[in-house]
Amino acid sequence: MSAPVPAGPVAAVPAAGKPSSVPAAAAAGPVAASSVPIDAPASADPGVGEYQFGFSYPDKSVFRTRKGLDEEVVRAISELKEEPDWMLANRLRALAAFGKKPMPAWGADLSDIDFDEIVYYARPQDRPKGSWDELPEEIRETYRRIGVPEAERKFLAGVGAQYDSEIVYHSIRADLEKKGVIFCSPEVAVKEHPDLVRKYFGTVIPHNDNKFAALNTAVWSGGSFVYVPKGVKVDIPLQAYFRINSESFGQFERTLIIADEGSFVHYIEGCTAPVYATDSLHSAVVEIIALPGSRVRYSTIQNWSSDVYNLVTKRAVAYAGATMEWVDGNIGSKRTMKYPAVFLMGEGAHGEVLSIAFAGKGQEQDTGAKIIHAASNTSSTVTSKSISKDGGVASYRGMVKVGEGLRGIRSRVVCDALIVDPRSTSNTWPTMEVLSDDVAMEHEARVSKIGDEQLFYLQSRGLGEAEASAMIVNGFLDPLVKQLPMEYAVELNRLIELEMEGSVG
Amino acid sequence: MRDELNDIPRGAAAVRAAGAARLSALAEPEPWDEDWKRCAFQPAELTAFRPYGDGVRAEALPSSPGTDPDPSNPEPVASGTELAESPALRLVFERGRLATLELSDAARASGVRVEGLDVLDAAAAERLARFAVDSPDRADARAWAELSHGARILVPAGVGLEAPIVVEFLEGGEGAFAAPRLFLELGRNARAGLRARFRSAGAGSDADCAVAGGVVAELAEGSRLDGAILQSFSDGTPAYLRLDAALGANAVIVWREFHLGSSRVRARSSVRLEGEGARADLEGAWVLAEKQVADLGTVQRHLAPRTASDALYKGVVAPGGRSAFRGLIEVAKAASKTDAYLANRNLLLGPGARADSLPALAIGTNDVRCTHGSTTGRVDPAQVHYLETRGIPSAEARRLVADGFAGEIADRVPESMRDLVAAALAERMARAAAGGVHA
Repeated sequence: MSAPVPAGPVAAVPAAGKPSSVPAAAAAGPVAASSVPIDAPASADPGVGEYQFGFSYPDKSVFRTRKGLDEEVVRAISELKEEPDWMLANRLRALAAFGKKPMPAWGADLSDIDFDEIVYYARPQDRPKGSWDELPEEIRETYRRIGVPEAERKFLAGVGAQYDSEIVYHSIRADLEKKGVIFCSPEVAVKEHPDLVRKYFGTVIPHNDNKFAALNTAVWSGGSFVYVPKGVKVDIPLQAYFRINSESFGQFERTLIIADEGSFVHYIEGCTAPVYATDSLHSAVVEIIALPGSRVRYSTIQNWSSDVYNLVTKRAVAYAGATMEWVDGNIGSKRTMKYPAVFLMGEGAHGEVLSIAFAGKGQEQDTGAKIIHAASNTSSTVTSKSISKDGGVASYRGMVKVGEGLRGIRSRVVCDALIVDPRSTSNTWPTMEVLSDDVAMEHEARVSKIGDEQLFYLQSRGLGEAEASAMIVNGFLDPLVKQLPMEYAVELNRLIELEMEGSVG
Repeated sequence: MRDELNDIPRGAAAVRAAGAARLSALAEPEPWDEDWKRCAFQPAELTAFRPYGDGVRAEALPSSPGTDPDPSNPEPVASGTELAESPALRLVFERGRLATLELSDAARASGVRVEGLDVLDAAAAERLARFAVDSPDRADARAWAELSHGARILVPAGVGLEAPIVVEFLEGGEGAFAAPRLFLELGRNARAGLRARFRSAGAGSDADCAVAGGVVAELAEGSRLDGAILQSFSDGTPAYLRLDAALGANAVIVWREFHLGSSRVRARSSVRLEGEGARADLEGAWVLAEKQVADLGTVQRHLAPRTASDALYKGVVAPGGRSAFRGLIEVAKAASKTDAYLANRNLLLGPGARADSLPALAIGTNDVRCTHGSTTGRVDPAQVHYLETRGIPSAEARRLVADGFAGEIADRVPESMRDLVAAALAERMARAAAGGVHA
């Protein structure tokens, strides 16, 4: 961490402590030659219950910063991205805030994070590509294994794929582009749509909002920028796929979505990473602006490997008549702290958060929702379903606030928790602050186990215990899973089945 | 005689020492501290009040029951007769001094004991000190460190008291800090009813002291306590009242609390279900007029298998008033087959009323049924409409619905205390309404 860094971008500083299987040639060359054999995945056919995205390829970044974070690193990232001064100034301001902000004194245990041991930026290749064929072989192979190109052909309007720090692939359907829909990396947006970026960047989540939002603002790289013009409905989803490949790495993508008046967009993100011996940090910031009458749905299925700290700030503002929906699935990671927020700023706005959390062995899912009613006649719904198993800890942490002097506010929060075995834990920490009287505010929470009667019934119909409990868990999640696109629902059901294998205690 | 007793301070010194140790171990809450930020006073503010006059501290009660109170004490302003006609025990403290002590013949015959906290034997002091050691915050720890008066009441094993125990604490004296504590011990299979009242002695600024203390109840296996407390301090009395109860196997506590006084009140009712099959049934109600702030809460701590708890807390807040309710159901790994419920209902009477609700669950094992619910809103228009169709004017209909909301809990206190609670409730509702029920 104290290794001196030469001024300016450094090419291919090989990472220390890589898995021993990394071929020397791969670590030495700045750009991967296609003839270099790729690292064989740990297991070609992962066994049941194993993390199926746990394979990795040798780290062949063309550029990475040294470990640790200071002004030099931030300047190097900004310079590499050829950013305008205002963005660099914004980064430096956030870096100062990051130094001052305390670690959260609540929520998941973050004491193991060593900010000096993290690599904050790694560039896997020189330029983002517009076709899968142009990607380096191992990146292409990664996304092929995850199934992204296939998904793009089948049901997506556009795809962005991020590998470590940079977007490696971006495409959008031509007809949408013609209608003025913008879907690109935030770096491209800074260059090509500076007015839009300057108008909205950091307006929903200020640079000093919290320690991790400040960190992201200082070192952000990659993510998505989406702009949907007035009245345009993007009928099938846009997707971004985030992949961490390096060890002890920090991924800090930045997403900004602007839905102009009367428009609609559904954005999906998925996340995976290989399993390493040391922890990685994923700390994203997602800002969404739903202008009057628009509707934005943002779906996440987070399936990070069990050594990733996932500390994400997601917030949307919904203006008059706009609807914002977060669908937030947290299956993976070591610790997650994530509370998607909706600020209801105009009359008739509606906010919705659907949260699914699965906390298995060694995992802590500290997730929830935050809704701020700042205008009259606004409504919100929060539905949380969590499952804890094998000593995992699932916590719902939520806030619903109704400002002063408002009328016609409705809010309903329902938390359902299932604890699979006696070793596991479920917590519910809701806060409701109501400063207006014309309000109907409801909150309910239930914690239960897999019912003996339900198990007995299914077993009497010939199902094995594991099968039966997986079926009950799927039934428990069903109301939420229905909200997902079919491909995601199938995937989630399959993940739950894998996680539930041999689990009844 | 009394002075002689005071010269041999036994138990209470140990309890105060435990409180002082706890106080120094705890830090002052930061301004953003979740447990304190919704309270209208902070623990540090209590240091501005001087402890109830040294020398008057912890007036010792005679260790043998039935002795007359100190004749040098002034005439008590109240004797607690409103709480029950002929109680098993009537105990009144005024400004830290014992004013009345009457033990019925039946209670005396069954072995009920009453003693001042300063004459606790070592074993009893240790049992009480356990609660000081576990004190959750600096205001409560200070109250233990400066424990001013109170009594231990023991209901022996197997004794079922037909008549209730009546205890009144009248606190006052401008700038004084009252730290009263009632230590109630029920032996195996004992049964008792408690009706307690906390209120101001005197009127005007003379009544304005600060109060921190409450009731500690140790319930042995199979015992049952039916308790009800009415808090009606003057507006200028910041008050923090606690219930700390520990329940053995199959013990039962039924608790009703009413906070109908003080503009700055904090209350916590915490039950530890330590023995298998223990059960707690907690209910509370409060009404806040303009400029009144209440910070109330419950802790249902399940530590043994097959324990059950149920809590219902209802608040009425008028414009300019502010309430916060914080509830926690905690289930330890060992507490399988727990059944727990918590509900908080808040009624807002008009614009400018504020109610915060923080019902939490911390569940450490799976074979449980734990549920909580919280609702906040205004008078149900459907109910008002129903009454209007029966010919009741709109404003009157609203008032009836609001009265019924808090009255639900008042209806479940023992009959002889019900009128007193209902009157206090009506007075407070009238004051809340004067601030303007939203029409």
